[in-house]
Amino acid sequence: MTGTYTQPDDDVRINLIAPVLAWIIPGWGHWHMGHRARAIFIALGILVLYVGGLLIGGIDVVDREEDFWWYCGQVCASPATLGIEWVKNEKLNPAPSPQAGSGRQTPASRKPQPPLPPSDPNFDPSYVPAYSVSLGHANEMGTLFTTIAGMLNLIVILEAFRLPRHQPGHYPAPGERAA
Amino acid sequence: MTTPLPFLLLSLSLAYRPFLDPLPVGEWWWLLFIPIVVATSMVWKAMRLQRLQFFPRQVVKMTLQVTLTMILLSVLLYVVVQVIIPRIT
Repeated sequence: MTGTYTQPDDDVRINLIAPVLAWIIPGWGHWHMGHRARAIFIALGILVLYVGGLLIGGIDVVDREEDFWWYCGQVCASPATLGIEWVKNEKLNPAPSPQAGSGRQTPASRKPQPPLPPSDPNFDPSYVPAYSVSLGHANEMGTLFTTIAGMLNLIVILEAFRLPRHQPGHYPAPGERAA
Repeated sequence: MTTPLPFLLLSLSLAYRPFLDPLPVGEWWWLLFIPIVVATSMVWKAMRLQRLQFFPRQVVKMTLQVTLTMILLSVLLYVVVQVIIPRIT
């Protein structure tokens, strides 16, 4: 990686803590190694994408059953993805809604059903879905935002394995051995 | 009870619940590529620049490069799908 602040290839020191921190909170690995400004920019970029995706599409964009591979990308952004999936399945989807039909449970039927129109005989005015299922462009963009955040954080995590500790005032030239 | 009480109370006062309801992006959904490109440029340059002295300029430069490339690819794709392929088939 010439022309960057990382170590030359012949002076490899593998970090084990920084990548874990980078996964827990994007940018924390860089902060831990002393690269504070870079950590802030990395955190800002990745968290804007991740939180923005959840705002745009709602928590429905995190779906292990229907969008497994996108979910794998979202997990790379933060372990919060695992928490969101757990909250959805255990706290917000506890049982089939009163308006859902009986029968075999599918991933779609386990989700909160939208409110019925008032003209429907089964309309329940007190029913409020725990969360709304996002569809169309909102779901697409929300999923894209969060997964891109995960992919970027994956690069950051891999970078953190060989991240040198920050030395103020020292900027190694390409190929220069780290002090 | 289907919905926890705090969410039920909140839903009585708000038509939109952040993170629980999707945003109504409507027909302007394609503009959302802008924050994607800006954030990606910011993270990439934060990792790749040897010195952060020219960070803002480099981020803007990369953002414009990616945006222009996406526009050109869109135009190229449109020409291929709408013009060239109908003439071939």
